Amino acid sequence: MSRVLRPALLVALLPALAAAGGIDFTASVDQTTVGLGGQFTLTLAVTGDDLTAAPRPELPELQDIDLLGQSSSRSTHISVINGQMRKQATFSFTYVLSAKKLGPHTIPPCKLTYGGGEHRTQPIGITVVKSAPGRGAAPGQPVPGRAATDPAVPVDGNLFLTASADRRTVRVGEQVTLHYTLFNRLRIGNIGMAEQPAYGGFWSEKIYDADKASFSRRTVDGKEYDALLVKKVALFPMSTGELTVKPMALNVSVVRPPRDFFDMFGTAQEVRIESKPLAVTVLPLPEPKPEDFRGGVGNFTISSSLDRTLSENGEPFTLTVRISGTGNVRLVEKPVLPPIPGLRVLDPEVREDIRAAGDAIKGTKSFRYPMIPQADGRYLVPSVTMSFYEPGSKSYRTVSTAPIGCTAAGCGQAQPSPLADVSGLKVLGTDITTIKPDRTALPVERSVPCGILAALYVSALGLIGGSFLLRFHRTRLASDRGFARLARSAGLAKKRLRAAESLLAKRRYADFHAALTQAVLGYTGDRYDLDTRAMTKDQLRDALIGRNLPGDAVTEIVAILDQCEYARFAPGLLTDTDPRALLKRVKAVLHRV
Amino acid sequence: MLSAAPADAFNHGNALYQQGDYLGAADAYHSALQAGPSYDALYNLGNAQFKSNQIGRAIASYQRARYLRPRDADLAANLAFARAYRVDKVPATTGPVELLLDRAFHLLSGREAMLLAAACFVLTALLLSLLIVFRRRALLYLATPLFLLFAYGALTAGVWHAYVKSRPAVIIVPEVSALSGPGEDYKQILLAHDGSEALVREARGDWLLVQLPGGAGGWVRQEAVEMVFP
Repeated sequence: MSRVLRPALLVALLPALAAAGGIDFTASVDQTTVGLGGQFTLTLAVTGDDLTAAPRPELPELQDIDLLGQSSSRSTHISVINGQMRKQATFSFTYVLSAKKLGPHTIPPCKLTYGGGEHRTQPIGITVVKSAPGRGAAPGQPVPGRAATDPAVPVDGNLFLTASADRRTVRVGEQVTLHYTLFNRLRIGNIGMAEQPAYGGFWSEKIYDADKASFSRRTVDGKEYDALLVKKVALFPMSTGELTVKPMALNVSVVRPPRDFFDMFGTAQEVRIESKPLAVTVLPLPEPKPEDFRGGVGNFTISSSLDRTLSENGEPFTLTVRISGTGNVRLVEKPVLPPIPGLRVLDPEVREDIRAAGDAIKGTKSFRYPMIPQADGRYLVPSVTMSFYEPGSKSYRTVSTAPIGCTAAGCGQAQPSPLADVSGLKVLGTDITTIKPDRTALPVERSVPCGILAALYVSALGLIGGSFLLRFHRTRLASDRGFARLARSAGLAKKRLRAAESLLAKRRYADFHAALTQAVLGYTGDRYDLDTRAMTKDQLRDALIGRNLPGDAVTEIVAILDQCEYARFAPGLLTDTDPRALLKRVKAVLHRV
Repeated sequence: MLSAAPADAFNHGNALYQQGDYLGAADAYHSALQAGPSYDALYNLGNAQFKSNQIGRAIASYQRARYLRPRDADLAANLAFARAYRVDKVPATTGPVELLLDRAFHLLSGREAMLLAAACFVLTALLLSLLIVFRRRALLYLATPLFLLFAYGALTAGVWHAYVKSRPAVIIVPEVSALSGPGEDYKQILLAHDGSEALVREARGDWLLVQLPGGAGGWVRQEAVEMVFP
């Protein structure tokens, strides 16, 4: 693991001493020779003691160089010199650039205004060539990835992550094996996964994931590296065209070279490194495909078995069809069973036992078809065939199972029906009754509202209760004379008063007063169950007072009776002759009674 | 299809069914049912599911249709037909009396039974009221059969209510292992297959305790089961 730190190969560090303000302002590129259209990074670093913030530097106008993106970061370094602690902060501004013209180029000085002063970097020269050295690896060769550059850590060329495929052009369903390898020439510590790769358009099966750092020596471009296989995965393309595997990223803890005597052990710094995207060209499978092709690409065998060959009580058989082999076995679809007269075949249950064996994906996919005998008899499960594409021979191959015989008994349908015997009709089969025909409107059958039902039940119970009350009332009317007189008193009084009003309207005053007398005597008699017609006025007064009628009401009743008597028999003695006023008084006193 | 009128979706489903697109037909019938329960749509949905080899789902649809219209002979035949296609055979344990009672109390749908009971109760109450007031024996003779009809309707409605409350369900996956507890780590105690009818006794998270005919049961995942009355 331990390793002597070495300077970066491609990094050109060109410091520019700050003229004032106690800061360093430097510019660097990750490579001075770049490929045409390739990416390289320019890093502007602002370093200073107790620096808490730094303005973004001004990038000069770049001729024939495109700015693709930019980012910034901050790091702090603390050191003790002669007992004095020094806290140094560095603000790094990283620009991703791309050169679009061949030949030598110069990145002009960058400008930073800080602390009232102006700081400039040295110009940087780069050379743009047709293809960058070490890039564009052939299939099977590692493709070095990009590393986040820190000027203090010489990562580039010394630490990178590659993604390599065993083939770049495959057919749909054919396996591509991908290796992710970390190459290192630095002192590194922990390695952690920063971002898993994305396999858009592929079905992936894990072959290997590194669980410990087991390095081996590898030589790349004449340089020796410690190589660590980080991940190995089998990919099965599911669509045609140019599919791209997105990069994987790792966080690697790198020990920075010592800067001075007091920094003799160096400082660990976490660096993010990424593999490069990997393009795979996926071709369609050759046409025409066999009819029984079920998506299998690889090398497979097929077998079948029955869980029993004799069903005694109509129990179902289970036919298991196993597809085993190497390739995209997980993606193989269920084989089509030919119809078996008398056996109802249901959808299968699918089980998989798939694992990595070396660089290949091997396993078995089982389809368990329940088959229900519809009638007693002997059945033959025919041969099941399946075709697959074999990449080795670049052709389709067909495999098949052997037919299996079985016998069903006890299904209860072995004997023909009596109808068939008598009429000669032969029942060929049964099926469900067909669907209901089209409708112009589809009635929705809603449930009965509980509120309406409850109201109906309560009303019905109320009806029964009311009838009981009515019955009780009628019985009491028949048996209780006082109650009966009381019950009809109001009605009779109203009737008599209406008769009196009618007589008054006809100016039959004597009859009017007689009717009033009858109304008053009748009503008071009915209310208190008194025989008022046989009573004198004194007896009436005493009887009403005895029944707790207020004294003034009793006096008013007697006065009314007197007035009516005078009006009928001695009209000359009458002082108050207004019959309408008398009628009002009668109504008022009867109301009080 | 969602915005189409229920009758249009139903007729579209019929057209797809006739073309042999049973899954498409089932989708169309589902759309028709979004407006509310309809006997014809549930019946046809059951047929489409049966034709798509979804025995359990078909049985659940037929059961829902039976709740709405239990006297349809076509429905009874199709339900029996679908049940015959199940892997798990259910032994016939019902006696003739039980069978007769079962038929008697499933002549009417739950809705019809509730309406019959309510109408007969109101009429009985009316006749009883007249009897109380007028004391005519003929009213008693009229009220008695009405009361018996009310009792029949109320019992039938009660039977349907108890059936719904028992939370009937159907297994809808080809095969499911019933476990001794609500979790994958529990022991497998029985295997049930598509179309097996069960009662849901308890629910815990994603797991249901189902009881199969005969009393056996176990815990299965919710997605393996379709409730007849969700």
